[in-house]
Amino acid sequence: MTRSLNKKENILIAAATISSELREVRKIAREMSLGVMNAKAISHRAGDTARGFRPITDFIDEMAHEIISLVNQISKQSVKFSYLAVRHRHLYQTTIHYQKIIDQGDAVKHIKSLKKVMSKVNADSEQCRKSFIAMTRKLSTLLEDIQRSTRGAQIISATSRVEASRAEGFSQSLEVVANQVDDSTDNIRTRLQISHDHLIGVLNLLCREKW
Amino acid sequence: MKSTKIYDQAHEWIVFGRDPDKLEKIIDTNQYMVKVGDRALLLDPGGTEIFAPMLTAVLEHVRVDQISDLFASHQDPDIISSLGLWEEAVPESRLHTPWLWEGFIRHFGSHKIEFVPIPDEGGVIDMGAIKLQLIPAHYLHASGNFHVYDPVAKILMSGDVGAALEAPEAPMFVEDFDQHVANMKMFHQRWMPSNRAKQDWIQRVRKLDIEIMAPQHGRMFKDADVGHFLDWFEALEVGVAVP
Repeated sequence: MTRSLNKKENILIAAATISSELREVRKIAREMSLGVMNAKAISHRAGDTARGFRPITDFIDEMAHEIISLVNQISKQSVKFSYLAVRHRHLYQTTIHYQKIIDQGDAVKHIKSLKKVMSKVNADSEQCRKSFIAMTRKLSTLLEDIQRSTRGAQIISATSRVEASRAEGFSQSLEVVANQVDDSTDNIRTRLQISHDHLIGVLNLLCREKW
Repeated sequence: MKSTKIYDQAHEWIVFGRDPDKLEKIIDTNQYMVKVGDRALLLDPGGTEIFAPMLTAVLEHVRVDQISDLFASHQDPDIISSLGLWEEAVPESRLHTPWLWEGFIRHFGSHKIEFVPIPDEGGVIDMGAIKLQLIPAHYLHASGNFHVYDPVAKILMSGDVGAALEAPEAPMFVEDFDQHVANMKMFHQRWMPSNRAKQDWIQRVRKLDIEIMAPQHGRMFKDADVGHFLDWFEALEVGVAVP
């Protein structure tokens, strides 16, 4: 579901929400990585019966690290995104204030001097909008990269359950790990989808704007 | 917003205020402009909410590009929260403000404007033909605070000192000082924190030749009423919120 953004104010909320969701994604990925360490220890103790589980833990560990690395990259971009959101909002507010004066037309003695300023503010706003659109698209691509990284996780969690059931004496502990992986990747996907929806909302709003 | 020339010789002083369209719960403020030749200085240009009427009124007197300097007596939002909006209009201008508040005032959205930090002992704003003196008024009420004195026009822009909370239709000048005391008393007792700072300021200001004392809220004081105010303020106990 794509959230609709009707007001400029929502862009700031979207920027803050994306940052917050990404922080959560990183936290979950870190927890996954720790869970995997636990799973490795269990499968080591289980010996041959958990042989099939070991490559799965390696895969999950790799996926968690990849997510953390991508989130770290995207977090830097999302800070720039927030700055652009604030600048965009500021220029929008500025044009509203200036327009109130310009609407009074020649009744204001030195209105021409403000019209020059307004042209400059409009040009800055357009430039800001273009940068903002480019940044939004870049963030969207990075989010899609993370989403791709999590795609194999569902298959892996199903396989890990089968492998867990074979690890006699340790199957219960390994099933817990398999369930945690399942829940974590679900949670990550949901949060990435929320962020992506916000980005699409921002993008739609920016593309509709005319300065 | 109403604009009134209070000095009109080789240079001009204009006061802006008494905005009839101002939102009711926003405190009424006086903004001042000193126009010297082709340059203009805005003193305490005001909050975001009054930016549009204020700039409209300013444009009756000068072009945007003539505004070369801004002055903020201290950091309050009714003084300078409009900074981010002014900055887009006059990015080349300079903001004179107490050094103490620079980092705080930048929170009002300032990236381009040049800050000119005023040292504690005061200084001068050089407007070419006119040199405006920056008179220390620390703790009246802000911990870093300045007033602006024009020795040619004999005007002291006194920030919150002399302020009164009144209706927007109040006259520009005090007409009956004794009656006006009721409008000022609570403001000074509560907002001004230090009797020592008050006495120090009075001592300094008594040495100046002042014809108009121009506060940031309420009515201005003219001629003998300037002395009446200083006498009244001297006797007033301030900082009363401390039990």
